[in-house]
Amino acid sequence: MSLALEMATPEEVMGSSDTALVDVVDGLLRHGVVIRGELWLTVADVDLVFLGLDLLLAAPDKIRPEEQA
Amino acid sequence: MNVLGWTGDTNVPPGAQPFRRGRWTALLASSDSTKTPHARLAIQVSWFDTGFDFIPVAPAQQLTRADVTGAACLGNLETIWKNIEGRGQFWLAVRPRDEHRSMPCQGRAWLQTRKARQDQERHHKTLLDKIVKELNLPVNACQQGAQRASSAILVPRHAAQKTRLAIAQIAQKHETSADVTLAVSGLWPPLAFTQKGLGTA
Repeated sequence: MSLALEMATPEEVMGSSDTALVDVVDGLLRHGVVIRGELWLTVADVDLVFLGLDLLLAAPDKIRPEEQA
Repeated sequence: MNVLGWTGDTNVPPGAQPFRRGRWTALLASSDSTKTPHARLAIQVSWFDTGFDFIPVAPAQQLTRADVTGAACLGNLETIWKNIEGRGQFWLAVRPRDEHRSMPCQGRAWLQTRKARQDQERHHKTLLDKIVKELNLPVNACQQGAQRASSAILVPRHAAQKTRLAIAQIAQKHETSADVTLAVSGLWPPLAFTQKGLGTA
């Protein structure tokens, strides 16, 4: 099966509420940086505890809704 | 007034106020119309769509005229301009057709889902790298995460339609599972190719 293709103009992207398209605008606006980390606690080669962390680092005015920015 | 870009041209797009700094002109727009990053991006897109070439400032930055009065970036503008003059960018992303953003609550299922998503992201990145390589155009670093891989490619304005067709042909050629989609948008101002070295003093 061939790769499905979706094409959009900048106007369509900017006027859209589709989350996939909104991500394009977010990327262009450079809303912030996501830091990912993970920690495994292991004893004698046995994984006991896993800690996963996704941290969004951004200026407050970049993540507030537009009307408050 | 906020700075939305730079041009070496003496003409400025409709609605822009010029502010000369040596050979370069900062493009200013009223603070009222440029309060949010989204509004600044919309104005940049409208200028770009008129066929006007300029070096866009990242819309997330709110630069005033005072910020660029002592700008240390002027030396870099020449280099950036050489790279982007007459060009725009397409944004390409390989992602699942249906994105499931929620994660299971149980620990084991959560870990398994997370591992599956990481494998999927790696697969998406490999596929995107292949597509971009076939297009043979300047590309920025691939961003990976949130179940997708994305990149921007720099495209001459006159070749935008040709590039769309080339992307469509490449998508048709690639065999993949039914779950994967290539999302393409553009032509945008070349934002991903102008920010390196475009800081202010």
